[in-house]
Amino acid sequence: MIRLQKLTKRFGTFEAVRGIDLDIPAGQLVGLLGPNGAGKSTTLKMLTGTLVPTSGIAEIDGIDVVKDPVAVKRILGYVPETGAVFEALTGREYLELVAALHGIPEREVDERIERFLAFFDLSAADTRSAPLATFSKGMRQKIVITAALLHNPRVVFFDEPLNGLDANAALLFKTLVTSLAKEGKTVVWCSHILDVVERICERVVIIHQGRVIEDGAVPAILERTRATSLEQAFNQLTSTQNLTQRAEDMARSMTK
Amino acid sequence: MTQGIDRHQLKALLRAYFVISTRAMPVGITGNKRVRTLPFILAIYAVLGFVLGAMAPIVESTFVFALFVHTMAFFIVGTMALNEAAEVLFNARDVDVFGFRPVNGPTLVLAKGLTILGFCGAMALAVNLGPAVLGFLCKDAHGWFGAVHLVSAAFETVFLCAVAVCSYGVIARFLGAERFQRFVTAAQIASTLVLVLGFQVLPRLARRVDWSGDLDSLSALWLLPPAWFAALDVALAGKSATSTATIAAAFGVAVTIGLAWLGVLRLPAGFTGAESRMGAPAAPSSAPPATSKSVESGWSRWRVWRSWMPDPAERAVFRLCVTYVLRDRALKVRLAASLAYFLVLPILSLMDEKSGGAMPIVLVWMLGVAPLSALESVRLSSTPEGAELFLFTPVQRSIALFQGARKAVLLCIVLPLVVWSMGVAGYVLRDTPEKLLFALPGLLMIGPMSLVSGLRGDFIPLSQAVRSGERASQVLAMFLTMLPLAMIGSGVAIAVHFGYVRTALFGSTALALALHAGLSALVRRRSRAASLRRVT
Repeated sequence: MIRLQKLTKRFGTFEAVRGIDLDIPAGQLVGLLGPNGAGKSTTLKMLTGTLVPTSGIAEIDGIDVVKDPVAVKRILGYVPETGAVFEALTGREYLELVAALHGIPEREVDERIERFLAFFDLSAADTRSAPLATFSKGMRQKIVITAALLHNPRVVFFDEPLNGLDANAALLFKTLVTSLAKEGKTVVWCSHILDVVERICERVVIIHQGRVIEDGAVPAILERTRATSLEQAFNQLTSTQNLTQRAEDMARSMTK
Repeated sequence: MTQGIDRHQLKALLRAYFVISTRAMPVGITGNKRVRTLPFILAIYAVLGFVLGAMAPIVESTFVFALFVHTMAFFIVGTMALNEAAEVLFNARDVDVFGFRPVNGPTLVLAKGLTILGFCGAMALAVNLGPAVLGFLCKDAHGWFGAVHLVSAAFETVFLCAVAVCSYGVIARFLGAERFQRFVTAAQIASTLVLVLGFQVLPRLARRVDWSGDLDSLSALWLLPPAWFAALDVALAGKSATSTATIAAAFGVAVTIGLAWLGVLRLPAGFTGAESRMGAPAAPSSAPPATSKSVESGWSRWRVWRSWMPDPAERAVFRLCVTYVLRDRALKVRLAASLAYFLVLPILSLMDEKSGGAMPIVLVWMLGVAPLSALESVRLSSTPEGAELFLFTPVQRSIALFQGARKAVLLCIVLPLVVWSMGVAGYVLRDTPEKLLFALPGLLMIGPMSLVSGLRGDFIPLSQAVRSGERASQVLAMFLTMLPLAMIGSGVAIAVHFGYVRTALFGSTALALALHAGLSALVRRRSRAASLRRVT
């Protein structure tokens, strides 16, 4: 469903993504991990057609994201890390805007929105009357997630989707995402919350300094790295320092 | 928490605000274009200042010259102070950054006040530099006029900033949360209109004054703040200072110091509360906003409406822009500032008897610039990240976004302005209604001129960050747009003068239609076949 071949992105002399090769079949839920500045968001932006790769190939469902980005955008949903919305619109107005941009028939829009609002326990009155600027972070994130799923995309990219969600909403959402993957949707979950990724993703890809340094099922990664958790494996793969020791040293220096 | 000024915090805040307001930043969500608008704007105002300064040898006295310069500076810097003050003082995002930090009210307000003063001071310096350099050429000025004028200009700038800070401080202190935002918006729009009106009316009133006579006896003159600062120029650098001028100068200095003290030390409590009110979630109203309902479900069912905007993305952007125009505080204020002249000038045409009825027609022609001005305001947003939506949704071509925004601007902003201008023109020309025909080519020019914004690459509404002085930088674009209008308008006037009335009307109408077709084709061609994306 998703195929990356030698995908590269350079900003001037800085190479943010260095020839990534990746194949993700339909119906797979993949965790995309990496330290800050590893190239995850740049990769997602190239896959969502918002950033043009410097070289290489990126295809979704056989469609080249460079040659036909509009066709790609029709079949994907995206929850950006920023969670940015048009704050002067009400929740419903924002979702209607998204529906129009995705060409959802007008007769279906209301029903789809209502279904998501009910799922997320968002009050229909609030989403009709209050501008998004007045929403809490969690409520706004629910609207952003709804906007990503409203058009029933075949591929969904989530960049830190749990931002601001309360424990119940997060649990609900994680269950929804795993169910969607079982239904055949391809999901790429980009996050720094490693225990969540460990629990829900059947496959994990770790990017470091613009390259894929690990790719496989969580048990296989743990076996290869001889770690007891994904967090420990991630630390081994992406950091040369003993983080526990470093933190303890820091705490000691602060209390001196 | 102490309520005194914390110097360390003040220094850190000033450094941060300075960097934020001067660093070249990416201006929008597409591309890595970075802008530094401030030097460009300062250069424009410096040129204006030297034009003012060149009048020094020909005016009646040092006082008249100083009054003229201070009045111009008063309106230019005053408009900026009011707009900058609202942006800086009530920046809701500051609550996220400073809300949980131990920064006391006076320190934060002083830092913000000094930031506003720095920006306005730079503007004031640009405007006053020419008069300071050339002012000694006044008939009764001492050689040190320049130095004194810069001091008086500094006082005037402090006065204007202090007035802005105090006004908003009073509003913030005495208004409840619900009425607060609406009041600030209304106050900004009203003050912009008053300043623009004053900028136009005062020169006309000035023509009725005998400036060579005894000015001390003009008691109304001494009520105007620019007169106090002009008096300071004369008191310290004029050869014919009167006691009235000296008293007025002392009064101006005292008022300025008093307002500055009040703004920094007495009103900050109101600001800190107001800031959080601007950022805090408001209680959702039980009923949906009437405006959104009408835009959502009313128009969208009309067949005419659908044939005017067949693309759903275009209709969606139209709705988005209309909603923002009706609801977004910052956009309303930006639109008021950029379109104030089109509201105010028709009023002045009622006072203008000498033009023989030409002025209202000229004003209708000038409306050709209104769509560009409004569209450039709609392009800006304090949260441009929201427009990233257009990058990852399947919008076929950016022209849909441009056309949706353009049609929203034409229908909701330009059409009311046309009705207003034509109404006034109809009243002024009630005895010679046939002259209204000459407004027709001007009205037809609105269409092609509204396409100009589409020539500047991808137009994505609400996608560019608001920068200090952004509005002033649009002035050049407006002047450039005005050029073809002025040329065609002059051609019509010349043809009419030589009796070729029909030729002028038909010719200019044909030209407007041809321009519309040509520019439409050009905009379509420039709009990329591929979807929108970042171009880094």
